[in-house]
Amino acid sequence: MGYDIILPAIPFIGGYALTYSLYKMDIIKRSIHINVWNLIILLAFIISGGAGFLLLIFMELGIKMPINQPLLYWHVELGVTLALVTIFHVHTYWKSARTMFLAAKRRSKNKT
Amino acid sequence: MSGACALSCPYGLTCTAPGQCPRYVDSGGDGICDLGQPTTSSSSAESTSYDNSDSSSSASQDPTDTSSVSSGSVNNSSDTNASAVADQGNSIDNGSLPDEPQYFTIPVSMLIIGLYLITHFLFSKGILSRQKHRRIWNLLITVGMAGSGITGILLILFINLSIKTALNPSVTFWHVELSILMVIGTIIHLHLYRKPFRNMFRVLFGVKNFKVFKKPVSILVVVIVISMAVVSGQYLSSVDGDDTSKLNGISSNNSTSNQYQDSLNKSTSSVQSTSSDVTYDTTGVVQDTTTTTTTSSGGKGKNKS
Repeated sequence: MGYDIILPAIPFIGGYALTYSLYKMDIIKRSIHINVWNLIILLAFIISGGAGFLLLIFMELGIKMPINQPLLYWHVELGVTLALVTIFHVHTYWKSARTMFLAAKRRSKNKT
Repeated sequence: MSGACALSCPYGLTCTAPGQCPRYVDSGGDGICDLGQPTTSSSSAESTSYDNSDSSSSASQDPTDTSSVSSGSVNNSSDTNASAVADQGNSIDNGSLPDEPQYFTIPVSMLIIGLYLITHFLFSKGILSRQKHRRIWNLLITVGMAGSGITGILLILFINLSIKTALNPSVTFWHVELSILMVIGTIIHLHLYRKPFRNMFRVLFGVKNFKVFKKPVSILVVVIVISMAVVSGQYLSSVDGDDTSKLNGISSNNSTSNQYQDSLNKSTSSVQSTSSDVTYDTTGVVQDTTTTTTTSSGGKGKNKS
């Protein structure tokens, strides 16, 4: 049983391109575009991170249940989604994300 | 018995090729993960024990044969050389299967939460500016996200393409550790940006007052206290387990060494041993192996805490 990487990623890439283009064309507000993707990243995080954390706890406690197989599968598939949507999240907040890596002085120097 | 328990699938799955996790091992070539087949060792032990009853020399014929997984009790025939050969074969089998790694879930989580409480305290006292405070945690979550994502994609590629490298266990280990950083970091991120987080629900669903917690820091403190109690409970239980296993180990080692000496004397006196001698030998060696594994697992328990 293999895992798909590209198939679950396609609808999210298409969806981001759609909402971004709608925002750029002034059809939807920027806040809606941002908050829709914040909600998607939150849901992906809850399912993927939650499943991963549950699996880890089950493994440490030696609990073996039939739910482990779907948990592992959805952890991986939504982990791919989470990684992709995280890139979108950084892109959305690129201006503030840039401050993490560049010091304020250097930024001001670059501006001048 | 102990080997079968230690090398079983940690998720309790029976995967077909290429498997669902990087631990997939198929030495038999039947397309099913060896870790999900707990009956293989017992069945092979049964089959080889029948061989022992037929002829005492049959067990030592194929010392390097990995297809017939030999347990410690298999080759304890009258010949002492045969038991040594069986131990070699057993170690080869164990070496081909991955050991169960230890993930420091609770210590790492506690460390991150403790670090956040320190930086939050410094920020609330005005020593650390809001911008620096946020930057530190944004950097940490970026490290967690990037590390977890990259190692996760690597693991998917390893599974899909059936790539077996020596790096697989370490990639899995770092995926887990960085994911812990990512998960705890994300919860902290939500706390740092709680105003825009509430705003999200207002914008999308029209919820005006989205208040889950009134005092998040106090709830964090309660969570830390509960987790500390759990950790200390686990540590105390592991220490108790160590003491009892050590005591049992000492007593059983003495008894088994005497039994082993007796059996060796018997085996040297009569090479063509009877079936009763064989069973006597078997119990001695099995007890010996179980005591060594219990002491080692106790040591792991200490490290974990």
